[in-house]
Amino acid sequence: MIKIIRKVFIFFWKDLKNLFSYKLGSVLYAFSIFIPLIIFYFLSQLVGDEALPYISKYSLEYFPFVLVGLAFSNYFIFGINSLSASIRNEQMMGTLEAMLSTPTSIPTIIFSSVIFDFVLTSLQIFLYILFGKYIFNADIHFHKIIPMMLMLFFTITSFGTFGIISASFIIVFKRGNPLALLITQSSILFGGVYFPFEMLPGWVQLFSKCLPMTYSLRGMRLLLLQNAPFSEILPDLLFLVIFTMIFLPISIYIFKFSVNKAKKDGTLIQY
Amino acid sequence: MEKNKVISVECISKFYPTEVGLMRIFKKARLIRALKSVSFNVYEEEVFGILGPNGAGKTTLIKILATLVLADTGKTTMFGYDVKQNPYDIKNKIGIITGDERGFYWRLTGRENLMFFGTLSNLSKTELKKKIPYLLDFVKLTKSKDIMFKEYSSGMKTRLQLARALLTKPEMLLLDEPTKSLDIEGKEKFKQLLKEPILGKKPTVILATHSLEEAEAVCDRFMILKKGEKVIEGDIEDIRNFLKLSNHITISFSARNTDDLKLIIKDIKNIKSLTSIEEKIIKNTADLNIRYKENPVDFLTTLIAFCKNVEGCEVLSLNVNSKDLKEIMHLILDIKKV
Ligand SMILES: Nc1ncnc2c1ncn2[C@@H]1O[C@H](COP(=O)(O)OP(=O)(O)OP(=O)(O)O)[C@@H](O)[C@H]1O
Ligand SMILES: [Mg+2]
Repeated sequence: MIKIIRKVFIFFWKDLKNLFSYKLGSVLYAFSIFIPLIIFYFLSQLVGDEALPYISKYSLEYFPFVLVGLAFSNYFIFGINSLSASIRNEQMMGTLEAMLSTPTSIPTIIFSSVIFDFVLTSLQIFLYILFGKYIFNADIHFHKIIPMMLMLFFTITSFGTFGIISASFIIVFKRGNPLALLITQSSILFGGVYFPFEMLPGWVQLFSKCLPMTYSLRGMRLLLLQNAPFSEILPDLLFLVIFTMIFLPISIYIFKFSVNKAKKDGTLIQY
Repeated sequence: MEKNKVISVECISKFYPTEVGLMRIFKKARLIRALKSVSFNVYEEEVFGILGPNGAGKTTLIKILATLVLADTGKTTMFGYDVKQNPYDIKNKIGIITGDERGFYWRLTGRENLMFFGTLSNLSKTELKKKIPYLLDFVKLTKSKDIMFKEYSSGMKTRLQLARALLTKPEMLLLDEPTKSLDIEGKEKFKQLLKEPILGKKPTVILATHSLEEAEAVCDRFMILKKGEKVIEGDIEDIRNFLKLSNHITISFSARNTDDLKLIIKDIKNIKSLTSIEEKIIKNTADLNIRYKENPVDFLTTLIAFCKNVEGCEVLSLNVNSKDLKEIMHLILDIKKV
C-alpha cells in the first residue's frame, strides 16, 4: 500500500515538474479558467428573472445555477479526456512501455496518470465556487460537507468510467475516440449544465435520466444552492453509487484487455 | 556443475497484424512474421547473444521476454514464472534497455527520470538517494544529471537507460542493441561491465546485437535468427562443429635436411588442437596442409616457434584461413537461403 501511495505521489510530482517547465503556459492557464465565469455572470444579468420558473427548484437566480453546472461539467470533461490524453502522450513518448516494464499494476497506472489533472480540476472548481460566492455574491451554502464529499466522490468515479473506456479505445486504435466528444457534448446538453433537464421534451428526459451528469448536478445544486437535507439527494447519490459499481470494474477490465491487445499488436510504443 | 535454467522458451511464434488502426474492423489484417517456432534455454549468469540481420526478430524476442509483447503461441518461462500468467514476478527481476531513445520524460532531468522509474520499481527513497548518484557516476552522467532529458545526446540517452536498467540490481538484463550509439570508450566500458558486474551478483544477460565482434567478445553462447527462425544456437565451438568447420592453414618451409624437417613435423603432430595434417616432402622442403581448432594467432605462434627451434629452417609461404564469427554468419545465412 505504501508502495502504491509513493507511486501515486511520484506521478504527481512528475506532472507538477512538467507543468512548471512550461512557465508562461501555466500562468496563462491560471488566467484563462476565469473567463467563462465572467461571461456567465453577465449572461445571467441578461437572462434576469425570466428563467426563474424553470429553475426555482434549485435556485432563485440563474447565475448560481449555471455556476454549479459549469464547475461540475469540468469534472466530466476531466474524467473523459484526462486519462486518454495522458495515455496517448505516454504511448508516443515510449514512457508507457517503460512504466509497463516496471512492477506497477494497471489500476495504479490509471489512477496515478490522472491524479495531477484531478487536483488541478478540483482546484479550479473550488476557485469557481469561491469566486462565485465572494466576488459575484452568488447564494451558495457550504453546510453539508459530508454529503457533498460523497456526492463528489461518486461523481468522479462515475465520470471516470467514461474516461477509462475512452483511453482503452485510444490504446487499441491509436486515435482520438470520436465517441468521447459526442458523449461530452450530449452530457452537457441533456445533463442539465446550462438549463434544467426538466425543460426538455418528455421523451428526451428519459435519455437525461440515464446520464450520471444529471444526477450529479441535481445533487450538487440541491446541496450547494438549497442546503437540502441528505435524504433529498439520496436517490441521486444512489444512482451514482450503482453506476460506479457496475461500470468501474467493467471499464478497468476493458482497459486491461486493451493493454493486452496492444501487447499482441506490438503497439505499446507508437509514433 | 550444471547451472540453473533461468529462461526456457518453447516453440514461440509471433505474427504482427499490419492493420492496427480502425481499419481492422473492415478488413482482415495481413500478418507479418516476426518469430516462428523459436526455442532455446538460457542458464544462470550466462551472457546469451541474439544475432541476426535487420528484421530477424531480435527486438520482438527481447520484448516478449520483458512481457511487453505477447507471443501468439508457445510457452515462455523465466525464473519459473510464465510470462503471460506472472508478468509482475518477472518484472521484479529484470532490467531492460529497449534500443529506443524514447522511454523517458523529456522535460525532466536525467536524475529526476531515474527517481521516477526507480520509485515505480519499488525502490525506497533511501535506496534511490544512494544508488542514483552512484549509477550516474558509473555511466558518466554526473555532470549532466540536472539537464533536461531532451537535451541529452543519443549516447547519453543510452547511458541513462543503462543506469535505469541497473537501478534494481536485476537478476537479468535484457539488452537490445545497447552499444548502438556509444562511443569507443563507452563500448569498451560496456564489455567490461558484462564481464565484471559492478553490482554484486552477476546477472544473466540477453544481448541482441548486430555487432559480431561484440558478441564474440562478451557472449558465452549465441543464437542466430533469420527471418524469425532460429538458424543455430550454441557457443562458437558448437557452431564450428555444426558446420564441420575448423581453421585451416597451409605452410611450406625448408630446412638443411630431411631429418630436420621430420623433427619439426613430429613436433607439430603433437599439438593438441590439431585435427588433421597432410604432408608432402620433396628434398628439403615440406608442404603441410593443417586443420586445427584453436585461435589462429595462438596456433601460429606455436607453429613458428617450432620452426625457429631448428637452425636453418625457413618459412617459405604461409596461408592462414580462419573462420571467424563473421564468416560463419555469412555461411549460415547463405546456406539457409538455398
Ligand atoms: N510493432 C510492430 N508492428 C508490426 N510489425 C512489426 C512490429 N515490430 C516489428 N515488426 C516486424 O517484425 C519483424 C521483426 O522485427 P524486429 O524488430 O523484431 O527485428 P530486429 O531483429 O530487432 O531488427 P533490427 O535489427 O532492425 O532491430 C520485422 O519484419 C518487422 O517489420
Ligand atoms: Mg531491433
